[in-house]
Amino acid sequence: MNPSLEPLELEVQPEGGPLLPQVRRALAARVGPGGEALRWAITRVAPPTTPGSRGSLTVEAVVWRRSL
Amino acid sequence: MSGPWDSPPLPTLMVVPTGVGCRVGGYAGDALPAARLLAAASGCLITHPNVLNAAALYWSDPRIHYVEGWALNRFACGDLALAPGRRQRVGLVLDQGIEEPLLLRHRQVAEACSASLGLSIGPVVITDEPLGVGLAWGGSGASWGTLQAPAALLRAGEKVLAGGGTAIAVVARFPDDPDSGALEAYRHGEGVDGLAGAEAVISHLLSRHLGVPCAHAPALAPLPPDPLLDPRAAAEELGHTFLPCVLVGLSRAPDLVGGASRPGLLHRDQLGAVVAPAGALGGEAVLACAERGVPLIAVSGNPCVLKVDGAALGLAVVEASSYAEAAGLVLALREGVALQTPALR
Repeated sequence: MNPSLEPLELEVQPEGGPLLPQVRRALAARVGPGGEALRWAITRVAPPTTPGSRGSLTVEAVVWRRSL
Repeated sequence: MSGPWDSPPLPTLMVVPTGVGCRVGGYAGDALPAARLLAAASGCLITHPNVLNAAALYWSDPRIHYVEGWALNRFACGDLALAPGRRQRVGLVLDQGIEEPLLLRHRQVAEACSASLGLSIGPVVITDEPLGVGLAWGGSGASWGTLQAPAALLRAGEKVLAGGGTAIAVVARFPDDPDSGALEAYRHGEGVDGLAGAEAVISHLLSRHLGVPCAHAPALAPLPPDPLLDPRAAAEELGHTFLPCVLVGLSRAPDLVGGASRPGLLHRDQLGAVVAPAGALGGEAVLACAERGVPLIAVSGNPCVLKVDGAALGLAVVEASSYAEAAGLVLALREGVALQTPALR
């Protein structure tokens, strides 16, 4: 398999605490081994569904997959 | 530049995300005046090529540190430090997909920067296959892109380093689409730069692979003159290439240093402020700073296609209506003037 760059969009439902480690964990889980999110950003935040909760995050990324 | 009466510099990070249609910085180096002001206010500004690159135009200021976006993220996350002050030897990677005479134009820019500016340039390496740049838009309207042959880019970058380059400028042939509505909107000062996202992907990939300063310029056929051209986009239509600003920026870019610490390095722990568009706070560098308590100055006067603001993310921000106000806030932080004081608000 040749190395490749591909788009990825995912939803992250954050819990309390800092967002950065939560987004990183979600990206790593979705990208899987042999790949990494080369570039990413939170591009949308949905309104929270219940008072006191956080709205879900839309994350757009470009994933770099090395040769297998 | 400074005297004994000056407060010490307040290293400040300025981020204008690429490819999201920022009103300031979404065009051709049009955030440069804001960067100059923030550099004067802070005494030390770390920012990325999207802010500083204006094709044939550039501004060199020893207080401004030119750091590619992937490396900027790693710096903000504490994985890399910056070593300012070094003169880089800038190698040039040219996409095999660039046709003559456009290829010759780029070679001549490198020769001109050496002859007229005294920059150290070389080696020049042509990729062993066309890179095959493709452009795309995400669901948010942000631009991104891909390469058909990313490994060819990395091989060429390795050859540059093996040949003595310490920084890398890369020029990829981008698709010409002179009749597209998106391009027309961009030239008229609206919408998203359709090239910018792919440019960021290319430079991120090379920086990540090689760990040296990198930046990108697209190679494009010239466009017919447009009397309605927006001044913010005009810098890209002055010459035959977008390369001069990249070579100048990289020539004084800081080295990227991982691991060991030594005197004179810039570390993220020294950051005293981060400045970003109010609706584009969801990137790695901004989150890394803000969630560690670095004051985040959110500029509402720089709207973009995103609406990811401090309230949505639960981040504490200091609001600024313009970059002039942001510079005042940075100066207040540098001078130890409380931002909450009624005189400032």
